[in-house]
Amino acid sequence: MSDDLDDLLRAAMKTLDEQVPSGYFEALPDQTLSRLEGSMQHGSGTTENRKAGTAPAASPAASGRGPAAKEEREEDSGLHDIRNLAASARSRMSNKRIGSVPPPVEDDLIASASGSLKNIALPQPAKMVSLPELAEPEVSSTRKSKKELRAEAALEEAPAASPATSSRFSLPSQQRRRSKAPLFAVLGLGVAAAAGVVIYMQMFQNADEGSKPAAVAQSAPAPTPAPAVAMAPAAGSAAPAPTTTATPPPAAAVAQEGAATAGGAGAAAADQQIAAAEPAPADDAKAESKKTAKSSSKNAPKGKRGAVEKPAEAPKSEAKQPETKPEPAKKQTSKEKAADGEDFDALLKEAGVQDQKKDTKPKLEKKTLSSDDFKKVMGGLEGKAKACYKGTQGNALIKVTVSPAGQISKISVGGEFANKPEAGCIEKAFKSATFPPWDGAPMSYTYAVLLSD
Amino acid sequence: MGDEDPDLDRARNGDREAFGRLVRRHQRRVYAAALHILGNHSDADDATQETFVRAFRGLPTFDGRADFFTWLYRITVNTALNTLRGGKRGAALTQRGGAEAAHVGGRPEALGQNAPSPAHKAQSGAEVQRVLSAIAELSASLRVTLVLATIEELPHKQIAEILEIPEGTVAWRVNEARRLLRQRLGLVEPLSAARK
Repeated sequence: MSDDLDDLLRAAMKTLDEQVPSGYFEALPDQTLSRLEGSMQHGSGTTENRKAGTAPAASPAASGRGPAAKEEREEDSGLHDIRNLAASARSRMSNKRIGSVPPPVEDDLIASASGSLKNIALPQPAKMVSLPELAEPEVSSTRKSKKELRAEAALEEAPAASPATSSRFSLPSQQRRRSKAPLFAVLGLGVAAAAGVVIYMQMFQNADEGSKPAAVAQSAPAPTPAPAVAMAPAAGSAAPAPTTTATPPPAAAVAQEGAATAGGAGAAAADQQIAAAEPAPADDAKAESKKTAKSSSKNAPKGKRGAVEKPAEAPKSEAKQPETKPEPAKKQTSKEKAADGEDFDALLKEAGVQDQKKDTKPKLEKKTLSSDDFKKVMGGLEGKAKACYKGTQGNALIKVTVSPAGQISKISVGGEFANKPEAGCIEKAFKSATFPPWDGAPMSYTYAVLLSD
Repeated sequence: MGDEDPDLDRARNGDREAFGRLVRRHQRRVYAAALHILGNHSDADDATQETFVRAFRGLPTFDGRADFFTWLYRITVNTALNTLRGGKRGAALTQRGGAEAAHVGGRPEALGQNAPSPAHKAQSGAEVQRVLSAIAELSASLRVTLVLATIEELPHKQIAEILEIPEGTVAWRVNEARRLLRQRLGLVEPLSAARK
């Protein structure tokens, strides 16, 4: 009876089979290809992707990368902001676009974050010269931020540092919008503190060399950032007016350094050093070059260090200490000019910012290629290799060396098929294999494939 | 499989001509399977083309572990099942009257082209219509399994591979489909089946 049912079924299906229009199969390939073209153009491939397994493979990766990417982006965004701000501020200053309309978008950020950064990262007198020119006289007193209030309080405590001086070294946008972006201000201060520590270390080294008195003493005339002034009243008290050339007593400088060392407060010390790194806002380019020359004649030849240390030593020349060496000074100046573009990078690097970025690089979890992974991939291609059967049955021993990137770097076929036509075919079959990458040395495996009918 | 390799490799790399040759090679079996599952030419035609489109897109992921036709068959069955489960045309067979029975699934414009032979007419009478209606009443999974086992005459192992179910499930579905068909067609349960 089962046969009867089968017969009935087959008869019914045969009926269906006979309904196929004539010429249908001749036209079917073309129809299929045209449909394929159409679907490729319209991209209607949801089910196909699901079937092919590409989408599921891609989506977890994407989702897995999502949070990390987000984190990275968040972290990077801050860094880029600083960089962009620094770059824009630098370009503005170097171009001396005084009076021109400032970039509308970045004012906020420059005001909040890069104000203090600039003070740290632009220690060269040449760059600082333009800052007073950038300053706008009309500062709305009604919108004073906490920092400004603190700065004023500090200035009251430190009578030598005049309020005019502090306001001169703040950007107009900084004055206008500082209160709007406290977040960036905090960020800027954080970076400033980090950079200050680095600068302090260098200063400490310089102190060992005996150059510290003049260096730190001259730091006083530059009370640009209000917080720095506020946090370093000692510097402020020792500070003469920005245009003065009188050398402050070395004792004050030593005391200042001692305070920075013993204080234990890294940020305060940093800010002190930031203030110390600030040069006097001398308008005279000649004086500036003199400073540069004398500082370079004394200290580190490298651009990075030179940029930081230079202003600290500049007062020496003003104090008429006869150590001038014009020729190396010129060299140093040109070096520094070349290093102008690297000031921020160098400082950021010193502050450990780049290291943080490097740390975000993904590391491979796998340290080796497991035999399971190897077998899995090779097993996937075994069918292809089996197609190399040309009448001779036997085991092909395939020796494979896989690079850590997951590519086959070396493949050879041994066993019964060594140096036989099948060997080339098998090598070709496996050559394109891709293994999961790992972090380590290349690995070799041997894999056997039975070629049979 | 070995003889398919050149075209398969080329098609995998996007060679449309090679893929066209693959289509020509397999289209009849793919179409037949789709037709037997879906029961009409229109749906079978659509499913066949869709199968090949999917196959072309999925070729880069075809690892060669399974036989190419088995893989293609799996796509065909899945496509047909999607159509059946879509509910649009799954019950087509049951809705047709006796006059249409001889041309179930045929395109209206094609009906006159393939005039059935007298022998065919004898076969495709009321009995054929009843069988087709009974098959159409089966669930999609039972219908597919029955068609693969009885009409396509695939071994249970291959059916299990295509449908990605255990072989035992295949056997159960085939028996269940037969039992239901017999019940609906008023056929007596065979002793051999009862013994099983």
